[in-house]
This record gives sequence, structure tokens and C-alpha cells, in this order.
Amino acid sequence: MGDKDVPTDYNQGGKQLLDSIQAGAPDWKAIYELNRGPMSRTAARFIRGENSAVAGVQVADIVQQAMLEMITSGLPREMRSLDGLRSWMVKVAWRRAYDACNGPKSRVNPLPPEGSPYELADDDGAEEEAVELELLYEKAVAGLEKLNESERHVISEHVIRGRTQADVARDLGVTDARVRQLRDSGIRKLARTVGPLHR
Amino acid sequence: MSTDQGYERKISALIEAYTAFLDGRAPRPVLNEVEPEMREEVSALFGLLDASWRVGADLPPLGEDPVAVALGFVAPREFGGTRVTVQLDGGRLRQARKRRGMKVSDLVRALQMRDLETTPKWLAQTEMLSAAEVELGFAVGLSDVLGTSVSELCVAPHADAGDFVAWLNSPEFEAEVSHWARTRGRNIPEAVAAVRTRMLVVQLRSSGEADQNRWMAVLRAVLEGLS
Repeated sequence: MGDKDVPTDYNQGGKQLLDSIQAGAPDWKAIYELNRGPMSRTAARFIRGENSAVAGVQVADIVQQAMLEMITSGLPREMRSLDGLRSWMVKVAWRRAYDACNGPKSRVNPLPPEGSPYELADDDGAEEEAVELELLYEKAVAGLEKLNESERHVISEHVIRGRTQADVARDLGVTDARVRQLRDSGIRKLARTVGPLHR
Repeated sequence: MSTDQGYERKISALIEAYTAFLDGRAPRPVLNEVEPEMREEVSALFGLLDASWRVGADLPPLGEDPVAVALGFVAPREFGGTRVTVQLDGGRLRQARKRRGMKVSDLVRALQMRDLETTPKWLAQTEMLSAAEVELGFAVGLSDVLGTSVSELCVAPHADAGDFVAWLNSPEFEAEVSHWARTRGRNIPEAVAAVRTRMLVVQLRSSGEADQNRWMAVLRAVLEGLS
């Protein structure tokens, strides 16, 4: 959030980066810098909820495993857009998160060899949903400007960054109950702005 | 309580229930049990919470990002960054170099142009080895110069690498824990024994099959948690 992780101009340097992939010599540092946010968020989404009980799983480990896999297996040279690259990386991060919580290779097909079509097997659509969630998140962040200042603060700090209600209540000089009200009104406004998730 | 107020309260309760689920404190609320007139809005709310709930912890600057440091994208600012290494297969390296029509000295020059320090002597010796441990960043540079992938240059994973207990007694495990214990001034044998026990518990809880990469990732997470 605050999107320090996303360059102001998403396409800045994008052509060079895609050229490096198409030439078979990906600029991994730039690729990581551009996509560490989406990959980290994807990992964070996976290890919540029913997977919270799995001990020892951390976002950074998942992202590192995903990067390591891509570096050692290569990226498909057909990658033609930064959005396509982001989707690819979100899916690989999702797979590594799945492995981290369920045991390795329990679902995953290996990445196809270089030069082959780059669709990943995704029989139940879960990986596509991981991409959709990331897009929904980006729309939500863009939609924050439509909220009032207090709602925006609660959504940014409590909902997205995960600070406690008490902390955020102190920031605003209000009660915890008021933070919950602001959270609910902010979330509802945002949901109307960004629309539903298609699943 | 008016109908509107009743609706608002139900929505708030559902948001509360869904965030409790996302935090692992409660089972997932079932959408089918929500009243039909609320279902569309609730579905959108759940989707938005799925997308955004506690996913946005600030990323550190790239220079302090542990993954970037581990992968060799940036130099570690201080001692403590764990570098990822891979095992180069000397024979594969030699074949890739020859396929590219390069002499050892050509390859050394090309690597040096990428700020990757090496010498003809080291490279020639490495080509004679069945396995040589190098930092991943170096292997990436090597594969770029040779027009191949890192995996093509590396030792194929052993099929029998799946013995967790053997791994717990391996030099790799001891090296990792010893390094961690040394940097924190802890007694090394005690730390190795304690971490070994903890890893066994983690493995039993997950009851999953795993490989060495996964175990090493879990080990680092465990050590991080102990720090």
C-alpha cells in the first residue's frame, strides 16, 4: 500500500523489460521490483483464513521460492505485456503458497519449458481468481480517493495494513466502535465502486 | 429497530464474521445462508475483503528487502542477509561454454563486464567439479552470458533427497543453524538440538511431504521466529 512497490509510471521501462524477457535474458531485478507487491499480497492472501494454522509459513519465503523457481525455469519469451507478466508472477506465487501450506508439488505442474505456450494448468480456476483478487485490490486502492478522509484512513491502516482497531482509533481520536463503523461504511462504498469479483 | 437498521447491522455482523475468518479465528461464513436480498452486496464485500484484508504491509526499500538480498539483486547492507546459492555442474558449464564458442578467458571477461568477479583459474577448476556452490546472482549472470537457463547449468536434484530426518542431521542443516546461533551469541549444540526438535514438530503438524528447499525455507522461518 502507499504503493511504494508500484512505480508511478507502470510502463516506465516496460518495453526494455519485456525485450529482456523476449531475448531470453530477463532483467530479474527489475521484474522483482515491479512485481514484489503483487506477489507478496498473493502470498499474504493465501496464508490467511483456513491456512492461518499452518506453522512457519511466511510471505517472504513464498515470494523467494517463487522467484527462485522462475529464475531457474525461465520465463516464457512470449510475454508481451507487463499485465501478462504480473499475472504470471501472481500465479507462480500462488502455487508456491499452496505448496507451502499443503506440501510441495501437491497441485503444481512444473512450469512449461522455455518457448512453450505459457498457460498454466488451472483446472479449478483458483489461480485465475488469485489474479482477479490482485486486480480487485488495485481497483480498491485507486477507489480510496472516493472515501472521506476518516474512512480512507481506516481502510488503509486497519483493513489493508492490518493495524489494530485500537491503534487506528487513537490516530483518529475516536472509539473502536467508530472505527468499525468507518470500516464498514468504507468497505461498502468501495465494493460499490470496484464491483464484484467474478467467481 | 427499522428495517434499514436491521439490514445495516446484519451487514456489519457479516463483515465482522468474514474478517474473523480471514484472521483464522472463525469458520468461513456461508454465503448461501445469507438472505437472498443481501447476497449480491455481501458477495461483493467478501470479494473485496479477500482482496484487501491485511495484504498491504509496507514493503521495505529494495536495498533492505530480504528476498532481494537473498537473490543477489542488491548487496546486503549489513551482515545477516542469507544468500541463496545453487550447485553448478562443472560438466554442464563446460558444455554450455563450448556451445557458445567461448574460451574460458572470454567467459571471465564477459562476467567481469557484469561486475561478477571471477578468474580463469577458478572457472577452469570449477569446470572440473561435479558440483560447485555459487551465489544465485552469479549463476544468473553466467546463464545470461551463455544464453541458457540456470537450471541447465546446475546439478540435477537428487531423487533421494526426501528424507527429512537425514536432512535434520545433514551438514546443511547444522551450517544454517550454527550460523544463526553464532550471530546471536547462542550455544551452537543447544541451538541445533532445539531447532531440530522444533522442525520435527513443524513437520509433524504439516504432515506433508516436502523437499530440501521447502525444509530450508521452513527452517529459516523458524529461526526468524526465534530471533
